Amino acid sequence: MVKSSTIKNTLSSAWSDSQGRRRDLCLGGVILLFSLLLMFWLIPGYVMDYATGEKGLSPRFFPYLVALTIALLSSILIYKALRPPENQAQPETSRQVDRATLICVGVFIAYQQAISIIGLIPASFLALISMMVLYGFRNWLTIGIFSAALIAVLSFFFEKVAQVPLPRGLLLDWLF
Amino acid sequence: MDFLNIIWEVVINYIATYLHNFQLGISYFFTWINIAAIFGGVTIGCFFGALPGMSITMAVALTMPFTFSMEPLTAISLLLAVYVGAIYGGSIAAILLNTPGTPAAACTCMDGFKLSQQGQAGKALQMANWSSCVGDVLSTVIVILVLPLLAKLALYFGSPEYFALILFSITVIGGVTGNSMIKGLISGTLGFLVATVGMDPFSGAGRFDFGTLELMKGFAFVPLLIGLFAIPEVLTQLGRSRRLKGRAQIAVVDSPDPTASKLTWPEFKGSLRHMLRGGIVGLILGVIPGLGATPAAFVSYERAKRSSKEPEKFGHGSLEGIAAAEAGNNAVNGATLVPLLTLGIPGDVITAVMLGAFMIFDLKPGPLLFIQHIDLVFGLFCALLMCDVALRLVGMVFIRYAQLITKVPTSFVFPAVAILCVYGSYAINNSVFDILTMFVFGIVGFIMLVMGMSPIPFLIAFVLAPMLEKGLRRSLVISDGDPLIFFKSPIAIIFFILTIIAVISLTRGSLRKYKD
Repeated sequence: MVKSSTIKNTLSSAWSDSQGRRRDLCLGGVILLFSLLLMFWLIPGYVMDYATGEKGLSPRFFPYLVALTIALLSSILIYKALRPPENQAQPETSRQVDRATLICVGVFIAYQQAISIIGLIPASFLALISMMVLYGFRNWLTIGIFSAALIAVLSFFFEKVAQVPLPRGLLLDWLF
Repeated sequence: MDFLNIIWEVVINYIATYLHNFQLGISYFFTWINIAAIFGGVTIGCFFGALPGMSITMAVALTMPFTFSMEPLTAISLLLAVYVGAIYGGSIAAILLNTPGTPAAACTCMDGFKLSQQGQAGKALQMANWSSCVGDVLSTVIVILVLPLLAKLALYFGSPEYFALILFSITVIGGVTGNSMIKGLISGTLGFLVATVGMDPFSGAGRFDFGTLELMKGFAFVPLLIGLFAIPEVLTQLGRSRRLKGRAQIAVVDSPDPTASKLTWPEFKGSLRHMLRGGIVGLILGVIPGLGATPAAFVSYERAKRSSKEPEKFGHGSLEGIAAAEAGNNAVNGATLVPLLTLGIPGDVITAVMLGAFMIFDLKPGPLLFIQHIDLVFGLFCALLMCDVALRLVGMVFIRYAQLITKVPTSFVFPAVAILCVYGSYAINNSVFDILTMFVFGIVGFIMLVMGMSPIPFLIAFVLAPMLEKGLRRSLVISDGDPLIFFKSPIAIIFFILTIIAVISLTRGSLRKYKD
């Protein structure tokens, strides 16, 4: 019988030991929880099952197999993260999340929503300006000319050459 | 002696027939219009493949209408050239922008972009170009010589064999990408899960569609591909660009050495064996219908890593890695014609378009094609060899100018890439939902990178999942649920053994690295 104090010590050691182990512990835990959610809620609730009983024919067969595999692999990841430090590799360099990254994600969300409202061309123009400013470039004349030129070229190519009708958005549809 | 004489006569007749057919093909192919079609097609393909957001499918779709008024060989040669050019173009985007144009080019990303950041983009691009040519030429020559035997190989692959092969491919891919094999396999398994969204391939039942029409179709491949790679790179480059007040360039290191951008003869010679091996791997895997270039690129890469004297460089800017991946990737070009010409089975979207072109010109692939239109068949092989010449020449021009992108401030490059990706994602199905797909998977890809998980296995698993599931479920239906069917096929057993060997080898390699 494993003592609860031993489990607590192992967990706190993994948590405080290194960023890599902490990260792997979180990742393994989240994915394990997700796989359980998948097995007990998402698959039974959101995968229709027309052919129960037929071996291999059930639409739920492959998702269940995948969910079980995810659960197994995430358990192995958690086990590896809890192992003593001398057996662990150095974590590979990973990306950092800062305020600018979150703002950029916000720009993407706003851009995607704006396409339906004002159309792809105006939304792309505004998004391009926003991203260039976020990237630290400050020459407004260059930003304006580059954005206008790029959007014009892309829109011309897709609309006239590739014959792809670009979304006009609710506003342009209402105005014209 | 009589027996030996008979064998000798058979061999001589075989060679004579092939030489005669090759001569027919050469005289049919070598016209100015066909050569112009090849060079034009390769240029168009390279251009589309190199631009993130564009795709091979779009390049072929735009070229297709021009082929209706052409001769059959010219038309199919043009489509083939676009395909070959786009495969190489995907590597340009992978090396310069860390955004692969095709799933197979994801393998080139691992080392190519690192070299770009070290100021050696030209070297990486040249290695990709040379190894593409070498792999493709080797595979095409062998295809020409042993076409009937290769066609027979394709017939041995049934459902259990497909399942075993794809399981092996995913294991290898999960193992060679990133530092952690477990995380690579988790990434791959998540890719399998995302691929189940949509309709069940057997019963048509909805899976994870939450009652929405868009999800019933499943996620489109191109938005997912560019989202997983382009968007995380846009987010990653942001911090560096802000620190340098918008003046950062892709090349972090400005190398004062003028040879940094030129591939040297010792470097080429050192990677030649990887190119040749990649060519053979691409040839064998390319004849299997539906498999595509991705497993070939990764298996070739893994083999090169194991046999290299500097395996620790793989994933951190190894020219050998690029050589192996590109040779494997491009060697599929010639091999994929085998099931198409001999059995009428297209291997992917592009060969399906080529099959359509055959139908338009009233040509039926199969044994009859080899009797009634042998000049066309060998003309196509000449076209493929000419594509390699065109790839080398056109590639030189692209390399000269494309590498300049590493000197352009990232505050211009990556926002432009993001916008181009949005346009490209929308253009696939004229659907705003695909733009949402791109952004969502872009954020997923970034989170994966933050957690130290490579998105490459995720992408490859997404591509291969339908084949894996069909192989698994069909096998179980055939055997009435008996899993022993997978162990009754010698080919499947071989791939299962290779999978186990790959797992053991990759695990031992990791443990040895930790102890060192």
